[in-house]
Amino acid sequence: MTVRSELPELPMARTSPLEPPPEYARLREDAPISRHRWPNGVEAWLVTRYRDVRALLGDPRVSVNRFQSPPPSLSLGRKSGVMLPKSLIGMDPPEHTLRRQLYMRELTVRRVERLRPRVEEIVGRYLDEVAAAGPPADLVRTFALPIPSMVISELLGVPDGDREAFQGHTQTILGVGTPAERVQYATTALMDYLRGLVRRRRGEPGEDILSRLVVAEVDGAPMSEDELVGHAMLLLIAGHETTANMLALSVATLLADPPQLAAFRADPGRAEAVVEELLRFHAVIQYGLVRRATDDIEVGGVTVEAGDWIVCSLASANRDEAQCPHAERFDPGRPGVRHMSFGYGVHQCAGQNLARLELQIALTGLFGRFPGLRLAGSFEDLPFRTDAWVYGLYELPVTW
Amino acid sequence: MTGTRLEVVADLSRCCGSGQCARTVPRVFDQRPADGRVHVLDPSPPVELLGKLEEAQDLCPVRAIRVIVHGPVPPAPDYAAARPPLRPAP
Repeated sequence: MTVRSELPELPMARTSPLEPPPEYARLREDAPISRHRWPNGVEAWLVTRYRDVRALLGDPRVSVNRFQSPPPSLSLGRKSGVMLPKSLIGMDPPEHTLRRQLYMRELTVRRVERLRPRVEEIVGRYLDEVAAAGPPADLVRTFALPIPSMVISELLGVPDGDREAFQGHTQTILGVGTPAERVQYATTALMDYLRGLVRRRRGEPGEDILSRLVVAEVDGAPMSEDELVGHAMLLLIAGHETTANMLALSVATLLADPPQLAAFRADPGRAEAVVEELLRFHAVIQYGLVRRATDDIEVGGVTVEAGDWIVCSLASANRDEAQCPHAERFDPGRPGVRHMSFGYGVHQCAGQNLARLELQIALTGLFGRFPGLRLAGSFEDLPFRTDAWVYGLYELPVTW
Repeated sequence: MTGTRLEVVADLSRCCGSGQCARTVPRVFDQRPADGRVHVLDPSPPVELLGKLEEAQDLCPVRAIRVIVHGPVPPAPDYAAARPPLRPAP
């Protein structure tokens, strides 16, 4: 159908670590929806404008189901080799709708706000550890990675005594350059652990999200063990890598912008606005959201055909000048920030309120505790995750 | 602003429980404990909230919120004039 060799290839390169690839700006202007070829050979539409990304992600004629044929992929081989159970992010309505409801009632604005004291405690603990160990510190390993993981383990009701092992496995799964076998081992160990926890909760449900999922009924019956483990793994994976990387990237961005950092330090009450603008500035799902058209769709002047793969660039949408004046500027003072970093439509990130809370508390805490915080090396030497599905930093060496 | 009143309508069948309305205008929107879906606390909110309500309408990922203005539409606030600049203009 399409001429293979003529298509531009993905991924595109960044020229500056805090900016999306400059090619997106050209595409928004000249070819807002165009076909590209991915490293695994699959071809897909690339959608770059805010309004088109929003339109498609909200359109019932797009599906998240990617089990029928290989979706466009970076061919990174995410190391694990362990088949994760089918989860919410691969389901369409109506299968999706009821199950999502089970999460959403646990992650409402109110319930997330009730977690504030616990998140503050967790952040405080890691700040204490960093301070006690003395400078320099790698904020990825000692701060950005462990905090979201600990928050998730709290949410899942992992008993205190098991937290360290839980942390160990999750860090292994997300670790840099970890051999595939170790990742596989950690993933299997984690799934086995969660299976055991699910069984325990069936007999004795608690107040945590996992207990509530265990006792919940879908189509009149409780969910299977496999499905419950799938949900728990999704919560863990979805809520850990993304938040951790966004946290590290946020620290680096603020450290690279002394006037904005000073403004934030002077008025930590602005944390909400600062975090929202950081979210706009960086879409850590850096290669976009993958969807498949289930019907022909007219959008942005092209006809996407039924069966076509679509990739919605969140990073490009966030920097669309048509939506956001002076989009290239990091400006927490902008009124009415809009971004696509959590997606749009029925699959919009279920944990977004929790992510916001964690980012606000962690950033306020970090810069409050270490007024002299600065990079231990040069900005140019920072190792950014240019080749990973989730953008961020591999290391963030700081001193104070 | 006399003669203007607001009406807020939420479509529960569309709602996916994202809570963005509740986060944006907690005076007007809450989430139901049973499923996280929207609960409109005040279907006739004060006109001063129009700007924030429109933001909530826009942020809803499934377009479940509708803000209806009955009567003359108040002028949109001048954001540039209202907020102090964070740093000197370039």
